[in-house]
Amino acid sequence: MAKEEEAKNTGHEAGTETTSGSAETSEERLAHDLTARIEAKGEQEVVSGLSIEADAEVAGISTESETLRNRVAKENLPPEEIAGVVRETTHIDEDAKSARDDFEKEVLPRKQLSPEQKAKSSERGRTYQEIIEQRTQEFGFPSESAYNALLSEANLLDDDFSFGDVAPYLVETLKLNDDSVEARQLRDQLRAAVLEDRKKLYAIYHNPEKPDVWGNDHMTNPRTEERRQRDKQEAARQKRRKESGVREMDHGLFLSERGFDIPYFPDAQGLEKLFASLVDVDAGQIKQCLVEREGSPGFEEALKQLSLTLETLDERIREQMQEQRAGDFVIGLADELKQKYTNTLREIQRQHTALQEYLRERGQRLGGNPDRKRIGGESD
Amino acid sequence: MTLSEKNAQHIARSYLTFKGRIAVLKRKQSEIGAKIRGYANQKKLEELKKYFGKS
Repeated sequence: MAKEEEAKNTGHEAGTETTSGSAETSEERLAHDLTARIEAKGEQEVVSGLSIEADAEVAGISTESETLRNRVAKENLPPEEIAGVVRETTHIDEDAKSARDDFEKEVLPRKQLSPEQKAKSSERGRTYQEIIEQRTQEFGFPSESAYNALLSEANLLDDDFSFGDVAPYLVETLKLNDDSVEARQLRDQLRAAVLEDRKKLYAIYHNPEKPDVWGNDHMTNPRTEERRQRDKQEAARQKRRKESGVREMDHGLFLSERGFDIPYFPDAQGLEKLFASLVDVDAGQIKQCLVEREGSPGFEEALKQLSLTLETLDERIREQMQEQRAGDFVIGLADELKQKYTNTLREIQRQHTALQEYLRERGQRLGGNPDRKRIGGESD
Repeated sequence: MTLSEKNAQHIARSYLTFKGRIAVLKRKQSEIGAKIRGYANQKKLEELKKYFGKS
């Protein structure tokens, strides 16, 4: 962790040595700092502050774990590899929570809780854990985090809970791409289980003074909300792609594997033509293709994307060629790939030039600036 | 040593222990990330071989 972040988290001044040097020095410095803060604000407030920071650390760990699970699912690795990452990250999440709980047990004034509050808190934890364990076993999930995530995604106030809202790494677990009778039955059973469990938990967690059904405000945490929105957008995007019937092509795969994402083109045919032209169609044809698409819905946006993609592709191929020259990429294929990269780069540059010519001609036709190379208000 | 100092030392020790455990977990996550990147690169390489083999 960077020293500045460490310092921020522990309340130290920036630049204070915390991770290097002896642990004793760090402890003494933190203790000195905490003494001053305790004397100024009182122990309870200082401990509460540290407790919030500890929660943030645990949330950070949890977010990173989820990112890792989503990444491993997107890479289409073998199921056992995905299950391995899910298992490992689940353990990490659990360890982080244990570390936070241990810290709180050490420093939080537990005596302030009434016996009823203590009993209720224990009951919540026990019930939740029992539910998760039971369902994980019942549905044969690879880890407890899968069902836990489902419970988190489901909103009890919304009986239309849909699996379309779940995180991408759960697609495999829920057999969302499988339309067989068995897969549908599994989803129906799961939906019923989630709703039943949410109701059960609601009864013991609900706190009318807090905004969400869990009795806390994590649903309104901007970071959590942001992640939920991102996951929703990703799920919606995948759904749109599936529904549009756009065929996965080698060219599309070639681009997407390299991090280029073109979410929207006028239609599947236009997309296919344009991508095909990147590799083996001459410059005249790509211009013709663009002229044919002029005025169709989404064309302007598609054009902007294409222009940016070609520029980025050009840069990326150059970068990859450099990497290749450095010898740390595609070892053993260097000579062959160098030639292939050179040819591909030449193709890309030809298509890029064609697009620039088209844009220039179009600008002249429309009476705009003839030197304008990009659309979207930018010019060279 | 005053009571505040004593308490502060106890809190500091507990918090640093917590931070240490979190640091270990972050390292594990980095290792998993690196492993995924390794798989992805391997896949990319295979895809490149296939792709260039076709053209």
